[in-house]
Amino acid sequence: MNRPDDTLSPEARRRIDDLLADDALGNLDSEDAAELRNLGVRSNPLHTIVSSLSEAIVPEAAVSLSLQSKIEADAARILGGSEPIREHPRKVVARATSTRQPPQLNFATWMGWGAAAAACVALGLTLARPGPPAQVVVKEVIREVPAPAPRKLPPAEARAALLAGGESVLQAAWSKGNTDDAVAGDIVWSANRQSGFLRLTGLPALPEGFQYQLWIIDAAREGQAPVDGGLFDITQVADARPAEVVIPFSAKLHVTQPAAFAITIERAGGVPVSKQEKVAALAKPA
Amino acid sequence: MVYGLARRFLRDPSAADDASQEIFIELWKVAARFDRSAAKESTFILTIARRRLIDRLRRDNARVKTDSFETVPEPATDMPIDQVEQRDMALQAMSAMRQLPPDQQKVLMLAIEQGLSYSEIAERLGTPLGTIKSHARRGLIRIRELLAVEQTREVE
Repeated sequence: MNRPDDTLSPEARRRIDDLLADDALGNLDSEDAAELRNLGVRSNPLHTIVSSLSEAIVPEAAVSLSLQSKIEADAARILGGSEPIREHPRKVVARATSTRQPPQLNFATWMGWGAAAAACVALGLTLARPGPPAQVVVKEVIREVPAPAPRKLPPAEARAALLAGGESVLQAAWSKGNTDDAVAGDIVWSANRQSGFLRLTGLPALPEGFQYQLWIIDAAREGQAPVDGGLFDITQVADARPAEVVIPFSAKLHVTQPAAFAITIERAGGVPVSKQEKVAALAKPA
Repeated sequence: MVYGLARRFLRDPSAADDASQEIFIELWKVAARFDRSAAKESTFILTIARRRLIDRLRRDNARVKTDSFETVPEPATDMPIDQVEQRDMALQAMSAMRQLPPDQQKVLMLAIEQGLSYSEIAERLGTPLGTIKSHARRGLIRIRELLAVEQTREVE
């Protein structure tokens, strides 16, 4: 905002706040926009908050090679470059086990940036230094911002570290689902990280063509399908005694109020929405 | 991030592809108006992406196009976000959102994650439009207040 708050009445301040919120959330009509301008407001700091929340809430999505090529071609055409944008080694994100994402490139692949997308940085530096050709600037950014090497602990140690770290986490014991498996163990969930660990004994290895899939039931998503927590396999060891396994997982969408966790048996590759015909385990936080 | 937002808003993969391409074309075209010293790149990009997607969503649904009173976002003068990495800012914003009453959280989630208008949220939740507006506005302003407090603590 350009107009100092102390010159405004509380009512005017409240009205401006309402209009700024409407604008940031895409609910401002022309009349409201004119009113905001008349009130002396020229910019909206709430965009920063909505962008940050978008970044935290919306998961990254794989970009097809054809779309990647189109965007690169557009960039070259509009910004005046001719070389394709160089690929950058992909940041590897740990997953529980297999993923059902198709073999496509992530945005991070083609511009070399993680959560905020490389496009942000590349575009920023391109604009900040309008002189040099765009492609050269992008390459500079890639060198300046290498993908950080994640420090990887074995899952059991990472789980222990999370529990010992003093961070507020949610822990719930597994109970039997609608299958015959006598499952035990627990789930640890960090709302801050939007990820956690499954500790399980008693789940058998599945026949070929099937996988376990974790689901998070979010009370804040009333009427919507549970959130996908990822796929995993159990590999039975030869002595037949079910071993304890610890598996990291992360929510594919932002979870606000986890009311329950469920492990279902699905066809290999998983499903976007489970029919919950075979529920191997359930955990409900107290 | 742009593509993730497009998939979240539009669902249809081919529509998300088209929208992403359009967004990047617009970004390249308006690039000259970006002032790095005045705003974070991610805010600039995501603000344009959200507007373009919301316009498209509502155009496709034959709804009234929304307006905005500015094109390029400027930084918040009361929030020194330049001192904070973008990811930290995202986590802080989420942490602040989790402190809101559940009703406010739910409304903001639907608005931000799916790009729903106040009317659409009211319809989906079966709640009066005025209540939805109030939840969204109060929630966002409260997050701003909580972030300002957090950043004051960091400075101290």
